[in-house]
Amino acid sequence: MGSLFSALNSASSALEAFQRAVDTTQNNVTNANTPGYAAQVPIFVSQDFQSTNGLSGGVVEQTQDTRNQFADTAVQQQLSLQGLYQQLQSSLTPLQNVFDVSSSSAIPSAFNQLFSAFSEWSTQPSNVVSQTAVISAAQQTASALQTAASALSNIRAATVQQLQSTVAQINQDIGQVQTYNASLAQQSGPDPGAQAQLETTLEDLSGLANVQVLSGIGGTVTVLLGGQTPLVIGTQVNTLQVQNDATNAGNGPPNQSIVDSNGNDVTSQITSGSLSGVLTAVNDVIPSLAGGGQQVGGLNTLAQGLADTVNNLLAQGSTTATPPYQTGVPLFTYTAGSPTSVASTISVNPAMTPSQLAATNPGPPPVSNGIALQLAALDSGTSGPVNGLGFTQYFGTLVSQVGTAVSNASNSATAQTQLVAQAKSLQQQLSGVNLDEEAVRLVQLQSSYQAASKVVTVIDELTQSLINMVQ
Amino acid sequence: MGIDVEVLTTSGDARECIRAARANMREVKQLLSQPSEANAEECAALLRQVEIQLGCAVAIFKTRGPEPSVEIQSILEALQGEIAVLAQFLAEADKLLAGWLRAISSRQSGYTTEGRAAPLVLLKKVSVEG
Repeated sequence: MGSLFSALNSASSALEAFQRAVDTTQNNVTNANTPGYAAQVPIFVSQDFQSTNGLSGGVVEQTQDTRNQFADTAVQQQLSLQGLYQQLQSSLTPLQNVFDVSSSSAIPSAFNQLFSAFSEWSTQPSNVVSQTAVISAAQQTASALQTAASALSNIRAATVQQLQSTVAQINQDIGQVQTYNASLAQQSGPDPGAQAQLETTLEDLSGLANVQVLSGIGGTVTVLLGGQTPLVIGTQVNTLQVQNDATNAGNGPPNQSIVDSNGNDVTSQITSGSLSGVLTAVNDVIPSLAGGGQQVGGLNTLAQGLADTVNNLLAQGSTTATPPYQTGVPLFTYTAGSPTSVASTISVNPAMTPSQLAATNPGPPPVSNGIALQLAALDSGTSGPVNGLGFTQYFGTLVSQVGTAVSNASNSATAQTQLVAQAKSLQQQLSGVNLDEEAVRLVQLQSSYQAASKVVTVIDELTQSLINMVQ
Repeated sequence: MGIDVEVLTTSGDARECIRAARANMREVKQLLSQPSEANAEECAALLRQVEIQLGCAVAIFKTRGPEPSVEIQSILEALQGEIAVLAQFLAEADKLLAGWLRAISSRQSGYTTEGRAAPLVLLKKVSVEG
C-alpha cells in the first residue's frame, strides 16, 4: 500500500505543479498589455527523495520573473533623458513668444519706431511734432520692455509651480515604492501584479529624475537619487522639497534648490529627468534673460543700456540752439540700484516735456541737431552701446539664444523618444530569446547604425553647402 | 563616395533632388521608430540615396550658379533639423546597443580578470549530413 500511496502522492504533486504552470501562462496572457508586467516562466524542480514517508521524487513548480535588470535600467536611463528634454522643450517654448522678432508689437518694432523718431527729430530739432513723436516712441519702447519683463516673470512663476508639482509627483512615487516594500513582508511569494505596478511607478520616477534602482534582500527595492541620496530604503523614505537657494542669492528672484528631508541640498545630484529640465529653465535659462540669482538678465542689460546711453547723450546736449545753453533732462527713468528690475521699471520721465529734449550739441563747435543725430545713429553704428552691439542686434542675440535652446531641446526630445522606443523594444525582446541570436541581431543593428552615422555626417555637410547656395 | 552626377547636372532639377531627399529622410524617421535589422539596413540604404540626391543638387547649383530661394532654404533648414535629430539618435543608439552587447557578453562569457565583460564569441553552426 505504501508504494501505491507514494505513487498517488507524486502524481498529485505533479498535477498541482502543472496546474500552477497553466495558471502562470494564463496570467501572462491576461497581463500581456499590462504596463510594466514581465512574463513569469514556470520552472519544474524535482523534489528530494524522502525516505521517512516513502515519497519518491515528484515535482514542484516555481515561477521565475523574466525581467532583466539591465534592460530595465537601460529603459529607465532613456526615460530619464527623455523627461529632461521634453520638460526643457515645454518650459522654454513660451519664451519664444516673448522673444519674437516677427510680432508688430514686439521690442524690435518699438526700437525701429524710436530710432526713426530720433532721425525725424534730427531734421527738425525744434519742431514740437517731432519732439512729441520721440517721447511717444520712447513710451512705446519702455512699454514693450515692461511687457516682456512681465511675461518673463509670469513664465518664471509658472515654471516654479511646475517644479513644485514635479517634486510632489516624485514624493508620491517614492511613497508607492515604500508601500510595495512594506507589502513584501506580508507576502509568501512574488506577486507579478504588484511587481508590474512597481515597474510602472519606477518608469514614471525615472522620467522625473535620474534615479538608480537596486534590488535588495527579500525583493525590496532601494531607490537612489543620482546614485547618492537614498529616496527609499526598505520602508524608509526620504522626501524632497523645493526651497529658495540662499547661497546663490542676488537682488532678483532667487534660484530654486531641492533639499531632502534632512535638509541636505541635493540639487547638484539631479542631472536628468523632468526635474532637471525644470531646474535648468528656472535657474539658468530664465535668469539669463529676465535676471535672477547672480544673473542680471539680457533684457535688463538691454533696457539699462538703452536708458543710460540715451540719457547720457541728452545730458551732454542743450535744449537751446544758442548760448546760454540749457542742459537736457533724462528721457528714461528706472529703479536705480536694482539691475535685475530695470526692464520691469523702465518708463519715460513723467516730468519730460517736448521742449526739454536736448537736440543741440554745444560743442565746440556747436551743432544745432548734433545730439539728435547721435541718438538716431545709436542703433546702426559698428561699435554698439550694449556689449559692443546695437540695441536691435543685441535683442537679436537674445532671440537666437532662446531659439537655439528650444530647437536643441526639441531635437533632443525627438531623438530621445525614438531611443525610449528602441530600449523598450529590446527590453521586451530580451526575455525568452537565444542570447547568441540576440547578440548577432544587436551587432547587425549596430553595424547598420554606424554605417548610417557616417553617411549622416556627409549629408549634414552637403545640406549646409546647399543652404549657403540658396541664401 | 564615387557618385556619378554628370548626367544629372545637365538635365536634372536641383529642387526636385532636394524634395526627394527630404521625402527619403521622412521615411528614414518612420523606419527608425520601428527598430529592426531590416529597417536599419533600409535606413542606411535610404541615407545613401539622400547623400546622392543632395550631392546632385550641389553639383547642379555649382554648374548653373546659386539660385536663391526662400522655399528651398526653408526645406533645407527643416532637413538640417531632421539630420541633427538623426545624428543624435544614432550616437545614443550606438551607446545603448554597446551597453546591451556588454550585458549579453558578460552573461554568456563572464568577465575578464580586469572585471570587463569577456569578448563575445559567436560560433557558426555547422551541419554535417550523409
